[in-house]
Amino acid sequence: MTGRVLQVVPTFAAHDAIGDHIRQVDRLLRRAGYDTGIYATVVEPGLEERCRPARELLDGPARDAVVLYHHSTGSTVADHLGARPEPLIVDYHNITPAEMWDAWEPMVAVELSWGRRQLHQLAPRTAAALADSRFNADELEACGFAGVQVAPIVRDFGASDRAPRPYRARGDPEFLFVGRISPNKCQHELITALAMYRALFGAGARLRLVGRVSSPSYRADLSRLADELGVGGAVIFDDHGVPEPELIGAYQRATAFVCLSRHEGFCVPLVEAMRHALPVVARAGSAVTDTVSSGGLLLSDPDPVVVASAWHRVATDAAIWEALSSAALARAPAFDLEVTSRAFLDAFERAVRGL
Amino acid sequence: MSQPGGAVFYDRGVATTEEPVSGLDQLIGEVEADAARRRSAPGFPHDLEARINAELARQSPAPSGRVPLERLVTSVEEASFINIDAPTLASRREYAMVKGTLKRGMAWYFRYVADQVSALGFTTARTLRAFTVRLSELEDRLSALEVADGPAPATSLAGPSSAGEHLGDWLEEVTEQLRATPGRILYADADAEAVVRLLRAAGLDAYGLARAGDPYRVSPDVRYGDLLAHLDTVEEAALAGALLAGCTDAMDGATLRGLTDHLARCVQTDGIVAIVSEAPWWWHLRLDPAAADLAETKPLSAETWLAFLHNAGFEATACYATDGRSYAVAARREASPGPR
Repeated sequence: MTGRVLQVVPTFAAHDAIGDHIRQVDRLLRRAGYDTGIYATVVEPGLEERCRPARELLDGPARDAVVLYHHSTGSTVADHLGARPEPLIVDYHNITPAEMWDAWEPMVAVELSWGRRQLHQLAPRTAAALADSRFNADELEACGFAGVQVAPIVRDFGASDRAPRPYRARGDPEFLFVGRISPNKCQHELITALAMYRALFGAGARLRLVGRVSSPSYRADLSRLADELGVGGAVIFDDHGVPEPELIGAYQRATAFVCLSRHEGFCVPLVEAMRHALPVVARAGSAVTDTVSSGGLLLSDPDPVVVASAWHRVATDAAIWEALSSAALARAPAFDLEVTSRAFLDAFERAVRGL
Repeated sequence: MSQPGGAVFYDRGVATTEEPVSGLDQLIGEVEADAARRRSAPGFPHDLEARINAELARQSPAPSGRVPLERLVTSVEEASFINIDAPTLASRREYAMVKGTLKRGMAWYFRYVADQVSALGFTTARTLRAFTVRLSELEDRLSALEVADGPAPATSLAGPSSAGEHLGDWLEEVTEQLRATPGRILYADADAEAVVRLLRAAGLDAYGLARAGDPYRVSPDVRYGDLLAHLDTVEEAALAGALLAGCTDAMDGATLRGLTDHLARCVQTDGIVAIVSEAPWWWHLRLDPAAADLAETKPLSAETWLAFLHNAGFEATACYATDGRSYAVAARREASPGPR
């Protein structure tokens, strides 16, 4: 099946999970014979050749085209698309609940609320819908979308480790989390868990937090919290952009990938960790459960003592560590580029056939 | 520290195990059990846990609500201040000197532009503040209007009863209607002693309420008290029916709503509520206009009773006397969940 597909997104950026996904989708749609275009309200400098300004869509309807809109926050373009004549397919990447940002960045919370309202408004207008995960698909259905299909994020994660890593005992375990510094990712709970770990099991443990800052006020509060709990020197913030080789080094050095996010739409770093055969210990819930599945240890609403105990068990039990490393590696191929490309294209073409 | 059922030693050291690795669910169970054991062990840092819990509670997102508009306007105001004092530090001294020179030379220009941008920001914030005040006023007015489901139910009758002069014209007929459903019949409240005596003589299990007369001299079948207050104490579906006369003139909107809500609750399905009242037109005609305007009690139209009873879950009809001077309403309690 061929035709024209216009991908639309509020912001098109280079180092952004959705941006990467859009570029991969553009590639595989072209390969499948579609004529494609990418439009955004805000285009990051340097990407103008790949992406056109969304205001060009105001010139009039696009003939024989389908619009694929990537929704993850409130935007003026969503209102515009709702009124256009072309068939509309929504690819939903989830919207963080606004209340998680209220206390930190109220303007962001307003945009998130706006995005939720737009989701309800888009439902009757949308011909078909795609979602990154079962969790996201359930949200779409709750908003009134029909015929929702699960289509994974398409991303080139690069080479994966081929064998589980051997366990290495160390007196100074390093627990790693990769993700933007934002309230829904709950880096503060990682810090409290580290404080409890060091009180129960020894003062050598460290926590490395890799990711740019989405909320300056939350970032400042994390430093305050770490100092107040006496672990200021044990929490390493890599928040100014980490080059790829350094990031790979962090995955390879870490004892475990730890995640206590209360809300994730997909969580790409979980997949990166699994592809590096790094044991994953995460809070179950939102899309984390779907992404990790059998590839890691999922804790249901754990308190800091349970989290610290889990980290300690993984860090000091060779059999457990190696079992989780193997489980991570076994889960990783589900996100290989060929697998996700095929799954996405199949879902997309089923959606288009139904128009 | 050892695990039950296996030789695993992992207290601050590398663990070895002589058993196969447990499944993930079992591992989670072991972790939770270990956490519980540590929590109750001597030396557990309870004070640290308390500080952590306080911190987590502080960071816990509040149930949504919307962001207070005032905070958003404050954010605009805070962002309106443009700071032109750019840092001049550099990796090399000569670069820092260049930066410092440029800063001193351009400061007058940047200050000129920054002042205008700041003014725009503050003007925007003030305008937004005016909008938030206006919006708050509108929300307050809307909240008041949203109570417009009618007056809240009253808890007592609005005024004194009238004499219930026309009840005698209707008593035989309403008695027959009330006989249809066996059970307790409430009468209120004009001339309660005499009416209850007649109803009981006709074979009805009737009792009455009175608000007039000596409260210490009522008969055993008549109680002294307010109708609404009494109905509030009656159990659900405890009444087979009710007959109202006299007190029917002591109604305002809130009272009528309270009464019909109570009747809907207290009267069993298929039970009958009968109302006997003077027709408003006749009441106006026989009263001096000034007396009518200033009267504490007045009869309601049959249509008003029909509307309120219908809304409360009754199937109601009204019938006027041949001379038109009075009417009777008969309302059957429907088998429905409650007031509409």
